[in-house]
Amino acid sequence: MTMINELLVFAAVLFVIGVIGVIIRRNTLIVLMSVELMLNAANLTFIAFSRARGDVLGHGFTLMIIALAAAEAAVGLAIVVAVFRSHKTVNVDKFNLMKR
Amino acid sequence: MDRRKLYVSLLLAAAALLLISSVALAQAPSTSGGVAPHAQFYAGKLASSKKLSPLAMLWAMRVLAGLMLVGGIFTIGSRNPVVAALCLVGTLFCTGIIFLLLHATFIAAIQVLVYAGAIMVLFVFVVMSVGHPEREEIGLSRGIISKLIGGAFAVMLLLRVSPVYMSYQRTVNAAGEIISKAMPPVSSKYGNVEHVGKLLFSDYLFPFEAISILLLVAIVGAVMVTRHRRRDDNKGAAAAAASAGEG
Repeated sequence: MTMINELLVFAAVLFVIGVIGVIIRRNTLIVLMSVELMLNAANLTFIAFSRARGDVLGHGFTLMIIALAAAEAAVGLAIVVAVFRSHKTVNVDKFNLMKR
Repeated sequence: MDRRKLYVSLLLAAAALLLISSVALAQAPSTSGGVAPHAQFYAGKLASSKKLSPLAMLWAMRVLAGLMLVGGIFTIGSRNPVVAALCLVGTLFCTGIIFLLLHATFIAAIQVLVYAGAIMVLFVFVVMSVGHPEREEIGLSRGIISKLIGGAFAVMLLLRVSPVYMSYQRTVNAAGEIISKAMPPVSSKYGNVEHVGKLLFSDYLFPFEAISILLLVAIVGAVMVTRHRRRDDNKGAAAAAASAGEG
């Protein structure tokens, strides 16, 4: 069980790294990658708890999170491409087209 | 901020977070009194169902998780998005191997196929198509107060959560020693396609179908968002029709 405990902490640290990435980076692509990191940390937590309980419920949730991440990446990158086409930038701070 | 300073500070921050978490763990009702006692505690049960000894698994997990964290740090720290994407692949790959250690064989395969395969291809494709990485100020350039508050909340969340994690399924026995409940032994079928499939197609059929609809909506949305809208759409169509007529 020690392994599960430590793994949960590692997953939490990975989640915080993702949060910090979203906070400090201005490149939209890297912000999206940080979101993927956070989702991945959630996956790891699900699988670890699933193993600790000895059931397979968390695996189903993880599958759904992976599908969700795929959908999120597709839509997010589509938005990045569309905004890059009109603004010629991928800087988050310059994505203010809703204000105008 | 200088790039090298950023890396060093991020690595130091991760190390400090782990250290603080372990201190918090030492104060939690369940101290980890080193690795060996726990390893001995569940050695008997796991040896029958696993080829790796618990201690070897523990250290494999630690090494992989360390690589995972380093990959994560380089993902958020690198200037070039291609490098970031490759580091993210490394992170996801390490996570996949950790899934294998946890007997989640099917999820590990899906992780590598979908995450490290499909999603990363998408990322690299977009990174290539948006061109050069532009000069970007890393750090708390704008909205520094809100960012600091957000970061502080994230770190506080970690510090609150990790003692709970570390005391999960641990108790203190009458002699005051920490006892970890043994990881339940699982059959060799645990986490394979059949096992997960039975779960997904019986109790969780509706969420499964809902996910498929979500994917469909996402695909249609992505196509709609990236569609080229030209001013002279009609003109172009007319010209194409004319050229087709000539041909």
